[in-house]
Amino acid sequence: MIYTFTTNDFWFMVQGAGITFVLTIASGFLGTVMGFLIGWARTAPNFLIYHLLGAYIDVIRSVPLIIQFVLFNSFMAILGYPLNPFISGLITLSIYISGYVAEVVKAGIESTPRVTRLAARGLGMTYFQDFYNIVLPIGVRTVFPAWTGLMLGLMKDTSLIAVLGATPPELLRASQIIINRIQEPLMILLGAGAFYFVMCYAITVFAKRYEQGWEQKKEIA
Amino acid sequence: MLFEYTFQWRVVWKHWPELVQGGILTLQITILSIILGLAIASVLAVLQDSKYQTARGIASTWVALARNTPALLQIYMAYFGLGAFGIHLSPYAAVLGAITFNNAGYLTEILRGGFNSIPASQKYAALGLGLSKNQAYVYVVLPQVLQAVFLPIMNQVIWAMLGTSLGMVIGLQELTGMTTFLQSQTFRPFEFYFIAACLYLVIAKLATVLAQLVAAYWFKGKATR
Repeated sequence: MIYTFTTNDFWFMVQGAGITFVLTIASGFLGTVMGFLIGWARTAPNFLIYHLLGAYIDVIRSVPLIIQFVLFNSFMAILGYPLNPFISGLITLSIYISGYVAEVVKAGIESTPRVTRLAARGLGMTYFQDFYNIVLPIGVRTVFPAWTGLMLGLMKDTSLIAVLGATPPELLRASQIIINRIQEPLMILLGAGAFYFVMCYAITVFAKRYEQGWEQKKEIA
Repeated sequence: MLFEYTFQWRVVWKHWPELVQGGILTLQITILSIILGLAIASVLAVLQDSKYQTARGIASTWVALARNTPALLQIYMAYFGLGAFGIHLSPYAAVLGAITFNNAGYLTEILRGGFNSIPASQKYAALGLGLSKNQAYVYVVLPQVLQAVFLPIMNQVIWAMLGTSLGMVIGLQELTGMTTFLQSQTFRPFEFYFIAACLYLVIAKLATVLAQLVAAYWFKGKATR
């Protein structure tokens, strides 16, 4: 009997792409919140916090994601709280991307010149008013492209969650399941690649448009 | 006791030689893929500025494909996908090929960014001082480009090292693959992966420190970023 690629398989892959997307959004959101707090904390004039969080970032950025997945998963099991692989993968992805986001956030906060911040404080703004009204608008515009790049990287890295055997399968795992059945690796992988490419491209275009919106506002103002 | 689990580190030390062997394979693939990647990226960066549309097309397609698909997919493609053309690669060749393909895409962008960061006025000034075109390139433009791309390339080296860990999914016994193999025999996943993580950290730290020393010596600390 010859197995062929059916419409069901196509929808299976679409569903996988949806899971990839959901994973990216969820861990991107969690990771950005964590990374924001970490990056912000590192701009505080505190030697200990700076270096402790720096070490955290260093470790996250120099250990392969696969190993982080397995380590976190087995660590939770050792603690006596075994997690669903999908949830544990989601948390690992969030922690992983938070290390990268933290560096970007720190760069963004530091992109506002010190004199600008002093001027804001001199005008009578509190620390938080200065942070919210001066630092954030400047910083976000400066590092937005870098952050988009991180999110694109995150989307590609969600494919590694397969090592935990997480269900429901995301795009690459779904493709692999189909490949195992119909033994047509080239076509399926090309298809999966096309899915990733389109999703990455869509995010890039969307981000560009968002940035152009700011540019126009700047011209009006 | 905090954990209801007895950590057994001795079994890891018993397999230490295998882990080191895996680490050496990781280093080997990383270095080879960076050297090959740089060679390809130099060609692609030149092609991107070519006056022939086909050449530009090839270069930009390569860069777009390498940057917009997961490295794992690229490895699958090399290992399983190429079978459709009758090309059957060993896990080693597949990982090396895929990581090189990936590196070349990212490095092309780094090189292009480096060249674009040098103002054209530098070249004109050199020509105006009486240097020939080649002299201006070798003595004025290239040193500045090297300075601009050095640290981004070192970042890419770390990335390539992390990328080689994907070799584990197709059974290559580099550091991660070897760790997976050993823990499947000893049923001690946490201990083995923990030590592997430490090894990766040490390699990355050493590479970073080495890069900073080289940058300090070579560029007198002027390497940007």
